[in-house]
Amino acid sequence: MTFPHLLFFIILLPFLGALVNAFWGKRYLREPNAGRVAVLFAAGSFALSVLAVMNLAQMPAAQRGVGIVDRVYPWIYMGRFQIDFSLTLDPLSAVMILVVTGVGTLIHIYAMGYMHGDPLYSRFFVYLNLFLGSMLVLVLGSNFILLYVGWELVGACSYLLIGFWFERVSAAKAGMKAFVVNRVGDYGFAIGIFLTFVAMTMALPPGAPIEMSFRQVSEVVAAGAVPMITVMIICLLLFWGATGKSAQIPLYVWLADAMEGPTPVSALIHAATMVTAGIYMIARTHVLFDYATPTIGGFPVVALIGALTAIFAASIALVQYDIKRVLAYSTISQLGYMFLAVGVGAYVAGIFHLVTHAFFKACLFLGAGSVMHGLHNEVDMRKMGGLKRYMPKTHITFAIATVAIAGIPPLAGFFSKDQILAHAFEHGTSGKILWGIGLVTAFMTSFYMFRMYFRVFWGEPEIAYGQAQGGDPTVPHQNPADHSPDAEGHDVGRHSEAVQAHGHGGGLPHESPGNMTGVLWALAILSVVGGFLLGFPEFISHATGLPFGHLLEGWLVPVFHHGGQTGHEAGHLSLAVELLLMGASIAAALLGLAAAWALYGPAKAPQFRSAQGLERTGFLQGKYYIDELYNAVIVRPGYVLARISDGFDRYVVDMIVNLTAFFVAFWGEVFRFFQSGYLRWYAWGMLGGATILLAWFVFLS
Amino acid sequence: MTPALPYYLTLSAILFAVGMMGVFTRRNVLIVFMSIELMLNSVNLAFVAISRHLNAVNGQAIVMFVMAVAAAEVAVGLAIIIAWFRNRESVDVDDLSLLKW
Repeated sequence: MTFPHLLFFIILLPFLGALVNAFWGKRYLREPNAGRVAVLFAAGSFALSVLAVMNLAQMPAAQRGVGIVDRVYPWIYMGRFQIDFSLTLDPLSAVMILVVTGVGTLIHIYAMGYMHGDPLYSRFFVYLNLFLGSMLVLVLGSNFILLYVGWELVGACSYLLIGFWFERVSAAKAGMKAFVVNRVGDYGFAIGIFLTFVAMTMALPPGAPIEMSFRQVSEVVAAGAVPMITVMIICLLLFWGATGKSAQIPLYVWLADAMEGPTPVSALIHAATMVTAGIYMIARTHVLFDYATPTIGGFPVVALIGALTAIFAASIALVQYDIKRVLAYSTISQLGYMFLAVGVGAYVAGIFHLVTHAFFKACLFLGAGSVMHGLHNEVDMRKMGGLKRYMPKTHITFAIATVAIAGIPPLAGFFSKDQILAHAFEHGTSGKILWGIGLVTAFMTSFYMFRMYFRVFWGEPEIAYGQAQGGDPTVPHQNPADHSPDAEGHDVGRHSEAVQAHGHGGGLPHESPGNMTGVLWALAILSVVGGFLLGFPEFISHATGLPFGHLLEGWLVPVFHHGGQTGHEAGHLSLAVELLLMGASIAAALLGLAAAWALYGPAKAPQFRSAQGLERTGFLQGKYYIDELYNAVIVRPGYVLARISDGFDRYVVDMIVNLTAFFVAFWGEVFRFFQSGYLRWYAWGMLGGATILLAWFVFLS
Repeated sequence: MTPALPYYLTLSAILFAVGMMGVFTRRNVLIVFMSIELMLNSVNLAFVAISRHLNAVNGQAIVMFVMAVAAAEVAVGLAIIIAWFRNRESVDVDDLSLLKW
C-alpha cells in the first residue's frame, strides 16, 4: 500500500506534532496529554516509515538501490543550480528512518514518565518532535542541500534540548558549547558542499542542471569526471563536518557536556540518532570516499581518527564517576568504532554497529535516567550501590545492555563490533594496527561498563542513602576528587525541585513507573536479538547451517555495491582466522569483565573502591585536560579578539557614526536660529535679502 | 500737462513703504494682508508710470498679471485665514508659528 508523498508525510507528522504542542500544549493539553500527542505523532511517523520500508522491500533488488524518490516540489532554481525538495528512501535511509522513528518513539514514551512534573513539560515535547522531524529531513533528503538543512536543524534542536534546564548555568553553557563546536564542524561541511558544487559545474557539460543530489554527484565522481585531488579535499571537508556532529577528535569535547540535558535527550540525540549523522553522511557519500583511495577502499584519515577517538574516549570513560559522562565518553568511543568501520570501507559493518549501538546505548542511557529518577537526580556512582534490590527492572535491562555493549555473544554489540574488527584486520598492514587499537578499546569498553554496572547495582553505596549530599564529614572515605564540579553539577535546578515536589526527595531509591521500565524492556530485547537477527556472520551460518544470515548485508548491498569493494562480510579471511579474531574479541570482552569484577565486584568493601590506583590518575580524571587546552589555545584568544573587536566597534566604528550625527546636529542647531516660525521674521529676512541684492545691482555692477 | 515721472515714482515709493510698515508692525493677519495689497499696488503704479514714460505697453501688461495674481492670492490667503481662525480663534500672525522645527 502506498500513497503520494508518503515519504513527505513521514517528515511532516513530527513537525505537525511540534506545532500542535507549541500552540496548544501549555494551555490546553498540559501534563499527560502533551506527551501523548507527541508520542502519537512520533508513532504515526514510525508506522508510515514501516509502511514505506515494506514498499521498498517489495521492489526488485536492482531498483532498490535507486529507491523510492519523492520529489515534493522544485525548491531553488537559479540557472544551472536546480535543487528539488526531494526525498529518497533507499535501503540505507530505510535503516536510518526505522532506527530514528522506532527508537525515537520509545524515547518519547519514556520521556512522558521522566519529565513528569516539569513546568515546561509540553515545551520539551515540542523540541523532541521537532528533533525527530529534523532528523528525518537529514536522512531522507536526496541532495546535499537538504542534508545540510537537516544537519543544521538537528543541531539547533540539540542546542535547545541541552540547554532545556536553562536556569542552570552549566546547562546553558553546555548548550552554547555544543552549538559553537558544531559550528566549527559545519563550517568545513559547508565548504565541502560548495566545493562539490564547483566541481560539478566543471565536470558536467555546460548547461546541464546541477541537482547536487547524492545520485548525481556519485555518478559524476564514479565516472572519473572530477580530479582525484578535488575528491580527496571534498572528502576531507565532509569528514571535518562529520567530526563535529559525531563528536570525533578534535571536536568531540561538546558531547560530554551535552549530558546537562534531560536524559531522554541524551539517549535520543546524543547516543542513538543525531551523533550518528556523520557516519550516515559518509556512508551516503561513500562513492567519493572510495574513489579518493581506489587501491584500498575507504578513507585512511577517517579510519585513523575513528580508531584514535575510540581508544581515547574509552580511556577517559575508565575513571569517570558521573554515570552519564561514562556513557557519553562511551558513545564517543563507539562512534569512533563506526568511523573506523566506514574508514576501512566496511560500510555495512559501520551501519550495523550504528543500529545495535542505538539499541543498547539508548537502553543504557534510559537506564541511567531511571536510576537518576529513583535517586533524586543523583549521577555520582560513588553515591550508588546495591540498586538491584530497589530497582529490579532497571537493573536487569541495564545488565543486558551492558553485556551487549561489552561485546559478549550472542548479544547485539558482539556481532557488530566483531565485524568491524574483522574488517579492520583484513585492511592491509595498517589495518592490523587499527585492529589492535580496536581490540584494546573493546577491553576498555567492557571494563568501564562493568565497573559502572557493579558500582551502581551491586555492593553498597560509599555514602549511605538518605545522608546529606556532597560528602558528610563523618563518612570515613574522603576522596580528593569528591568535590569535582562534575560530581555536583546535576542536582540543582527546576527538575530536581519538581521531583522533590512530588514526593521522592531523599529517602530510599525506588523503581521508575511502568512506561519507563516498559521502554527499557523493549530496548533490552532489541539489544539481545538485534545482533543475530540483523547481522549474523555469514561464515558461521555457512559452516554450521544455522538459519540466520547477514540480513543487513543483503539489504544494503544495492547501496554499497559498486566496483570491486562491496564491504563484503570479511570475505578474504579464512575460517580459522575469522574464528581466531572472534575469539580475540570475546577474550577482550571477558577480560574487561574479569578486571572490573576484581576491582569493583561485590566482594570489594565500598570504601576501597575509589582507592584504586586508576581512579586517582589525575590525567584520566581530568580527561587529558583537553578542555583546558582548548580554553587556553582557542577560547582565551577568542575572548581577547572579541574584546579587541568590541573596542574597535565602540571607539572607531561608533565614533565615525557618532561624529557624523554630531556634525549634522551642530549645524542643525545653528540653522534652527533662522527658523523661528514667526512670519514677521521671514518678512524681515526677505527685506534684508532684497536690500542686499538691490545694493549689489546698484553699487557693485 | 501730466505730472512728471518722479512724482509718480515718489508716490509709489511712499505707498510701498507704508505697506511695508504695515506688514512689519501689525499683528492682525488681515491688516498684514491688506498691507501686502498696498505694496503690490504701489508697484503697479510704478509700472504704469514707467510704461507711459517709455511709451511701451510691457509695463501695463505686467500690471494685468500682477492684479490677476493678487486676486488669486487674496482668494487663497483669505481661505487660509478663515481656516486658521476656525481652528485657533485667532488672527494674530505671532500665533502662526507652528511650522518651526
